[in-house]
Amino acid sequence: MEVILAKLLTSMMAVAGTTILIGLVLAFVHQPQGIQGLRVFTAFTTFKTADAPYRTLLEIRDGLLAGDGLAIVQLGLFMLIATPIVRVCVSLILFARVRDWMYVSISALVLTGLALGLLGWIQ
Amino acid sequence: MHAVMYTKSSALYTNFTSAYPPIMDTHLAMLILMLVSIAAGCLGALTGLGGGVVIMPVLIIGFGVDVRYAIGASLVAVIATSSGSAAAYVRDGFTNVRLGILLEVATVAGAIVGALIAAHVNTDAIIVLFVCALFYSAYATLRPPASRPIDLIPDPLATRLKLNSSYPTSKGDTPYSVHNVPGGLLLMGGAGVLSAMVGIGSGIVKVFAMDRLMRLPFKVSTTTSNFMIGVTAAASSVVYLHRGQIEPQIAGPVAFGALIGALVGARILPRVNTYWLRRIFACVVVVSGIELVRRTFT
Repeated sequence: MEVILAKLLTSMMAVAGTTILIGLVLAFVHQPQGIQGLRVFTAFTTFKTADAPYRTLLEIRDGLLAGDGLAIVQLGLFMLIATPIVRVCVSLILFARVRDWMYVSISALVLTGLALGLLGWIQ
Repeated sequence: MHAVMYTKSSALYTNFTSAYPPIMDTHLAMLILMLVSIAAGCLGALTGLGGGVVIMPVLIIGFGVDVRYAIGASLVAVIATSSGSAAAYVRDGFTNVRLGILLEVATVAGAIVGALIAAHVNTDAIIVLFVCALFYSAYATLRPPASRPIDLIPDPLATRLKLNSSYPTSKGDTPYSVHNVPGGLLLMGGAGVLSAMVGIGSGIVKVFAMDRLMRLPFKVSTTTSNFMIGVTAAASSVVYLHRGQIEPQIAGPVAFGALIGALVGARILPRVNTYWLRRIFACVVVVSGIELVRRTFT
């Protein structure tokens, strides 16, 4: 179990990290037509929800289709956030394999909590 | 609906006017941000505090970024650093995976509550809370870990939950038992709220709960805390992602930098004397806390 979890964590981090790097490089060297592109940092002195370009997977998809490097960065950040969530899913499966039903239910409880957070996101 | 919001927001950036003059070129600012995050991730791994306590002041003081963007970026960096180093500890058998998952029930619940509260709280109050956490972190790093005999009297609840385990030491596999599960769960709920509200991993509270309350060996406490931090931060990050607090231009360089920094830190850890590093780091943390408070209230 320990070995599988460790391998999962390292490989997902590697993929997410590489995605972020590719996105950053792309956003640096090339800004396609019709994309806002990089903003000066003074634009971040005040926070507005409406300023955020990529808040949902659908928006990220639209940005990817438009060829925006920042959309790739956001996809990588999303993968990073998903890593621990996937880790809980995998531990649930691993506990089920050894028929440890108590810990299957505890893992399910953690996932329910994470899903509640996601629910607010879907709305 | 999303497409409409996207175009609307694009119009907002172009019309954006700020009271601050642009200090740095955007590209340069992002590169510096990445380099600073590498250092923060490295320091976080070496001192055992995680990157959050360094990244928050850097973003707020150094880059003049709104606290809410800083929280989003810092949380993603915290996921990167904790998951990166968690892998090695899990593999080596230090982490108590069962205990981690059990306590995650409380930290996740706390994190979601914290993220919801944070939306209705003034950012000045968040800064004050952050600085309190900062000062406590500095104090806790300097205090030597309490040495006490390993307690092997089993706790009925911990036994039923199959939490008692063993960990590798110089004398081979050493068994230990877990105590005060309800108290641990309660404090972990608090750690989750704190983590979500101020954008840190709040590993220091988690270690306190496991080390002092649940009486686990120190090495097991720190590694299990590290294992849980990712899930705690993910719970609130999802909420913040939707709220637009995770901005790719800030969180991208920060997360990537912190990830690289944590890898480097873990690699050089055995060869570094962390005694002085912890002291220097604690001073830096205190100074940045004072500066944050001064800025907020002047």
